[in-house]
Amino acid sequence: MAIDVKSKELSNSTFQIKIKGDIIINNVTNLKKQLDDDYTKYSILNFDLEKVDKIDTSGFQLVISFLKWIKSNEIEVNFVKISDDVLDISNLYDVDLNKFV
Amino acid sequence: MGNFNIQDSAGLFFEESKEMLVEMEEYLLDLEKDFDNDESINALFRSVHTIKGSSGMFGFTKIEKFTHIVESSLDLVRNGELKLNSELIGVYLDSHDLMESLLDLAEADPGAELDEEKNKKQIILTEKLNKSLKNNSDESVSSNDEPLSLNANDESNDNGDNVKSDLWHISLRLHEDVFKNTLDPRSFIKFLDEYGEVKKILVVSENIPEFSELDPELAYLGFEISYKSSESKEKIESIFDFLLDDCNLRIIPPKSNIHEYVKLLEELPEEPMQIGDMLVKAGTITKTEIEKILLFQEGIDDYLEQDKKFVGELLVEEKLVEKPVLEAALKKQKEVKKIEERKNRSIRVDANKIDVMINLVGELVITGSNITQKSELSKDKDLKESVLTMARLIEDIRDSTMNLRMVQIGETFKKFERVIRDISKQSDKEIKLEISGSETELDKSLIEKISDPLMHMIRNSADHGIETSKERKALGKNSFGTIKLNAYQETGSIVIEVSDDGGGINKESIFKKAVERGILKEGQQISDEDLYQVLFAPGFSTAEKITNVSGRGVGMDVVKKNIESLRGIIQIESEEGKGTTMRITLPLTLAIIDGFMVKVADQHFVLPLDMVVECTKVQSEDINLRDGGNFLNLRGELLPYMFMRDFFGLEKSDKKTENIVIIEYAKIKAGFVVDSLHGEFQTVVKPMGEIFKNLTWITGSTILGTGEVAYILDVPMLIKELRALELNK
Repeated sequence: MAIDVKSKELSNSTFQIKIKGDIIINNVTNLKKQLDDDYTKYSILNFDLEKVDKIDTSGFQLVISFLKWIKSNEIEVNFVKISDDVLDISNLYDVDLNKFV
Repeated sequence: MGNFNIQDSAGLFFEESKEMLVEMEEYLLDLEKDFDNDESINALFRSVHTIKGSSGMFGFTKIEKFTHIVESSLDLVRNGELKLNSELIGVYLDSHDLMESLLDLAEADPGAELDEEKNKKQIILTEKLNKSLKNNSDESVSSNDEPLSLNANDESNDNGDNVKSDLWHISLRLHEDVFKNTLDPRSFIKFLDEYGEVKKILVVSENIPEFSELDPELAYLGFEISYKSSESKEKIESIFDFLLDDCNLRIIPPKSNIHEYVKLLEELPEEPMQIGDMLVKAGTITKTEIEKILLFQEGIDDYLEQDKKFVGELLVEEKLVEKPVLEAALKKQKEVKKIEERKNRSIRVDANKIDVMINLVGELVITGSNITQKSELSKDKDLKESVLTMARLIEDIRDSTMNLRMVQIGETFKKFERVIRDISKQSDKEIKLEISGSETELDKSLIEKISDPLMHMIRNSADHGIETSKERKALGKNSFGTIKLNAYQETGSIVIEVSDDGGGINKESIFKKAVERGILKEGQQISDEDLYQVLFAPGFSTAEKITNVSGRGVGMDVVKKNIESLRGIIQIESEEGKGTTMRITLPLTLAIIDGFMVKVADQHFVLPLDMVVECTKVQSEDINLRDGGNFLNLRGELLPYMFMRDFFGLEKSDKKTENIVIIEYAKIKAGFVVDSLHGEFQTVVKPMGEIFKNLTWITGSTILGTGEVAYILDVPMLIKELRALELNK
């Protein structure tokens, strides 16, 4: 399934990113391109992963990398929703995405 | 390819197991002196472990099951979980005896059952051993350990899959192309739950570059996993089989398993192995790990010679092996090397083959002697020189061959440590055994025959000679008594002494008993040496108490009989209050000896050269006309002598001078008057055969180069006879 990233400004300080599709090896390059933007004017990110059907370790790595980058820009991340598969891999790898970032 | 014969192998099993039992007893006796001697504990465990393993392999389940219980108990001792003490050593010694009985029984009839008494002993020992296991388990071993049973079908691996609270550590570093190769570590990590439980997982994300620089198709992650599992390392590694080429995987055993690995390494068969193979065999590392390390080592070798490292070092550096495990493997490798070296130093040869060889060498000596004699008649100097060289070579071959049968007496002496230990425990005595001259060599058959008489003498010394600790203290002596066992060679004979620092022999008491028994007459004059010989009279005992060790008067007569059957003599020296020495003198019974040939009338005789002190000539009138008995004054020393021609009833001589051969045996010198002296002669001793068994004075015969027969004189018996004759006079 193709990947679809929707970014939306919710306020001057908050923006939202919604990912829909599979975050897997076949899509990660594409996803990275879609995520690679300048978010520095925001201080809060609402991250929605509810529509992520499948995620593999490469996808998970990308998500971590993205979150690290966001965090390094002093942007607070709130997870709006997380799909079961994202939750599953987070649990397996014992990574609390909230705490991680 | 040779045929494998199970019977032969079983024979070897019994032989080797008995050797192991001898070692087991020695280690136990050593440990009784030093409970904390780790080296002896480990060696003891290995002996028992080997017996257990081999008996299982040959299907001797009774031995295997009982030995398994002993081994389990010893395992606790080895691990420091069970403290050794005298009582426990006693249990192990009894177990040793029972194992010996079980081996004997299996050798005689594999299907046979132990007799009632031994069966009872086995039950008691099993209970005692189980108690030691159980007592210990209350403290530190898992409570679900069932006591070991002789009847249980115990197929569990006693090396234990005892992974307790400690966890495996799995370290996984992904190669960057792993995702591109459509491999996802997620599924492998998830699969870990099939063989255990992932207790903790840590994602190593430090290597992930900044998002802008990230190539999302490359892997940068790593995982550190704490894992609980009772599976082997091999099995755990197999979970990652498909990932192995795309990651660096390290599986580090739980702490408790380090100990298990050390044990496993110690228990590996005594075969020479490379360190890597040993660690793989013990399950410490996997084949893949060692292959990778070897490749790595090769890479270093090719690159920089000075950076060359041993496989073990690399394994520790790469955290694939814990240092204590590597140390155990290196220790084991060293031990195996030592065993191999020892094995290479000696080979097991059937004694019959050696006997055949000795016989052939005997024939060679006779033939050589024949050639030498014939060459002496020849004028060909070259021939004479060649024959001389050949004779020298034959002599060397003879000596080397005869040495093959020689065995050090030390092994026999060692056996008595147990006897002394048991007597000390059974009585109120503290007895120490001091051994010297262990390196003295005797013919193997002689050693086998001397063992029983020696045992009797030692038991006698311990039982009758040494006083109780209380008595010794009251007498101002050390509380412990000492029995000394010594062996040495002396003028063609072997001397074995058993001395004690006990109460000595009460001469009055012996005399009184001897008179009561009618052996001696009231008021009879008798030397101490002859008085002590009364002790060897059948049924003679001065012991007030009959113990289960000795005192029934049965034994010392048998001792003397046995020693005399070996053409030996036994002498006693004793000092009341200070101790007793019993001395056995045995001739060096060899199939080929250096002899000294003499002639009496037309008959050749051979005397063992070692016993010949000197030869002298005397005027016939000086010795023939004597009326005070056959004594000769040799430079101030009074020696008894005998005319061989009279003794053997040979033709009389009218010579004016006589040849006397002075011989010495067991510190007694005597002279034999002969007609002529023929000098040194390599003598092949041929037994006299059944029909001549009553020829007391002859030990055998030999064939001369001329084909004539010469008789070999039995010097100890002749000396004894001479003494008896003089005593009667």
